[in-house]
Formats: sequence, C-alpha cells, structure tokens
Amino acid sequence: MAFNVLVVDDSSVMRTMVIRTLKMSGLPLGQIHQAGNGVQALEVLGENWVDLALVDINMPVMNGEELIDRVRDNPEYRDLAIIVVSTESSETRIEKVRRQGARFVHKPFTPEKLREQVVAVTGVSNDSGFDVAVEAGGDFDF
Amino acid sequence: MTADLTLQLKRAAISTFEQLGFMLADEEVSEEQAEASITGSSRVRFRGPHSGALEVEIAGDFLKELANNMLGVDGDPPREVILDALGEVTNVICGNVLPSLSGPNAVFDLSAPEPSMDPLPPNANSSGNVARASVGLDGGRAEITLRLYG
Repeated sequence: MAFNVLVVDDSSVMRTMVIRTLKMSGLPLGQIHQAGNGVQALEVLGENWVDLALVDINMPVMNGEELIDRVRDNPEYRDLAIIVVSTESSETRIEKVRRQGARFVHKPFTPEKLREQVVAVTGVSNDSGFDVAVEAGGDFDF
Repeated sequence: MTADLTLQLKRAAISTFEQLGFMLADEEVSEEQAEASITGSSRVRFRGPHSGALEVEIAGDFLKELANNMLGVDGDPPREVILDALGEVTNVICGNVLPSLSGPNAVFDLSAPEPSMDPLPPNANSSGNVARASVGLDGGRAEITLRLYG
C-alpha cells in the first residue's frame, strides 16, 4: 500500500526538501501533492485522498494552525495524520498543535528527525515495511 | 541587548546553514571572508511581546550552492529559487532566536521573508536596539542582525 502525501509550505524549496526526505524515509509513496498555504491545502484535500500531511505554521492566506482546525472540523478528513514541520519555537503553540492531534518537527530538521516522526505516525520504517502498530489498527485508519 | 543574544544569533545561524544548507559554518570570519561583497539579503518581520525584524546579509558567491544543497541538485538554479532558499534560511534563524527574547512560551507571528539580491535597504523602524553576529561560510560570510522596534 502506498501513502498519498500532502506537503504544505509557502517555500517551494522547503517543500522539495521535505519530499526528498520522505523519499529517503522508506515510506511507500503514492501521490505527492503540494500546497503553498492552508487554502490551497484544503482544495487538495477536497479533491484527493490524502493519508499524511506535513504542514508549516507560518504561511500567508491561511496559516497551519487554522488549516489543522479546519481539517479536524471536517468529518471527511478529520482523522488525517498530520506532522507540523515548522520553525515555530513557542511551547504554547507547539502544545496547541499537539492537542490538535499533530506531531511536531522543528526546523532546521535532520532527515533522521523527520523520518522518526513519519515512522511514528505511519508505522512504516525502512527495514520492516508495515509495522505492527498500523496492522493492529493504530490511531489512524489508512 | 546582551552578549547572550548575540551568541544565540550565531548558534541559530550556524545550525541553520549546516542542517538546512549543508554548509560548514565557522564561528569566526576570516580576513578573506570579511572582504567578500554583499550578494543577497533577506528580512523577516515579527510581532508579539516584542516587534522587530531578523535580517540576514550574505557576502560571497555561495547563494547558488546554498539553493542547490537545499534542493539536492546540481546546476544553475533560477533566481526565484535562490531567493526562496535565502528567505527560508532567514525564516528558520528568526524562529530559532525569538525564544531568547521573551522565553519559550511567548507567541510571535512572523511575516513572509523579503529576500533580495541587493543589500538591505535602511530600516526606518529600527530604534537602534540591535544585536549582530557574523558567521564564516565558504568564501564569504553571513551577517545576522536582530532589530527591535519601538
């Protein structure tokens, strides 16, 4: 099974870096979608099945916090697995993101750090393919 | 502003250039690096318990290398990609320095980066409350300035 991924960041260079790291992570990737802000991300989610979203916080038009709020309020994709990848350093904001059911990776990130969170949220690793957590019905229903 | 803040600027810059740009950054700037001319600049404004801007000026011919390293490619990146890479570096340095101003729980809003291939224009809003740090990079340097307004 391949995972459809959405990468949301207003920097195209950062989106490319995240996608490159995902490709190194061992996650079997299906469609890779990109969005430059929260509004574009919601459009992608409305038209495509996405398994995992990697989301920046500080973005124009609609920021990552509001995007996650909108996602969690929508029954169509409220269980979407989300990893926030951001330069955000405020413990207050990071805690809010975690309460919204998202994981957090701080920029600048090493490929290992991002891969660690991807493995945690999907249950897929380089070595073993699907992990027990997902097969046993973990938090997210892919 | 304190010497500690200057140290935080330097640490954030070194960490960002090394982890994001895959470039070796030196705490000290050599004579050769100090003589390099400005080839780009970027500014990120922030609002919160303090308002101000984090500015980065790049001296030396390594902006293409920085962009290529971030993208994992070789070649001649377009100007917009170089500017995007420089803006993201500025954004990351800024986000990592802000907790030093008001503690780990303070919430700041950051504006979109304003990258350019020119030196920074004068900052009319600056109150003169400034911290500065420089790091050596390849054949040049990065000069990082934190300004507080008001």
